[in-house]
Amino acid sequence: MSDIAFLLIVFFMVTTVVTTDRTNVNLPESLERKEAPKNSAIIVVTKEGLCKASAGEEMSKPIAMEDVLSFAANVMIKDLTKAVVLKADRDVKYKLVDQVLNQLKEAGVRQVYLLSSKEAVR
Amino acid sequence: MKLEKKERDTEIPTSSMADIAFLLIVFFMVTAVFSATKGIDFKNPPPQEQADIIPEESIHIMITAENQMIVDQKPMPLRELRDYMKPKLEINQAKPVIVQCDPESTYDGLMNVFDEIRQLEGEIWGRDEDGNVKNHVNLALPTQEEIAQWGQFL
Repeated sequence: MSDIAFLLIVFFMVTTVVTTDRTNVNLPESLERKEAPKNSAIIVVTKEGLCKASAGEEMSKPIAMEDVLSFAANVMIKDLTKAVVLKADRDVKYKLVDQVLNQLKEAGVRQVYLLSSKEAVR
Repeated sequence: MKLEKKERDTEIPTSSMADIAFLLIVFFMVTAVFSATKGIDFKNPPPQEQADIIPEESIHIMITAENQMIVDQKPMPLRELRDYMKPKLEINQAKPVIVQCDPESTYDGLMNVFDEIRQLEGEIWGRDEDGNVKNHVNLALPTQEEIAQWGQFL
């Protein structure tokens, strides 16, 4: 009995990801999904247009949409190869996404991951 | 007088072991978040490569405010996009693909197009063991200012 229980514990301990962000967003769906590297910086855009960011280690903090550039620049100074994960709601207007992507580009971010959830096969 | 040796019970009490184990299970089950770290990868071009994209020779995908697609000035449903792009990319693998989104369109529309393009890349160039496509199309996601600059071409 307790053997099984410990097996389950180990399973859940291994699969538990210490997430840097727990904002609930409705991710867009896609068939193509690539695993983002661990400890990537993350930028969250909610349906309401609010922006949150985290450099990878600590919990994400709300920031203004215009501050993405300085945030990303700070991240890139420490590690030039760092990837940035964009976690945006599927109903976010493109102009906000454009603002974020544009600022990331200006900050010199090369690798961006656009988070998605698994799509049911069409 | 003969002293009787006291028998000490040296076993660890295991009767509560399963209880503790289940408590831990419940804790990890509640805190477990299953991999929310997968998505479509997108490479930002280095600044100097920007000029390489010549709008006239590209496939131009426009996403309207209603998330409808207009590909090279013709409306097109999402499922026809792959069949339309495939022959063009097979002729010229470096053909630029410009994705222009209306500011009022949603993120979902963009992701659908990106997903289709990635699937198409898989069809044309194949995938490695990890399921990653081997080559990417020359994709451009112009910003609003760039669109204004290219205005006469688009």
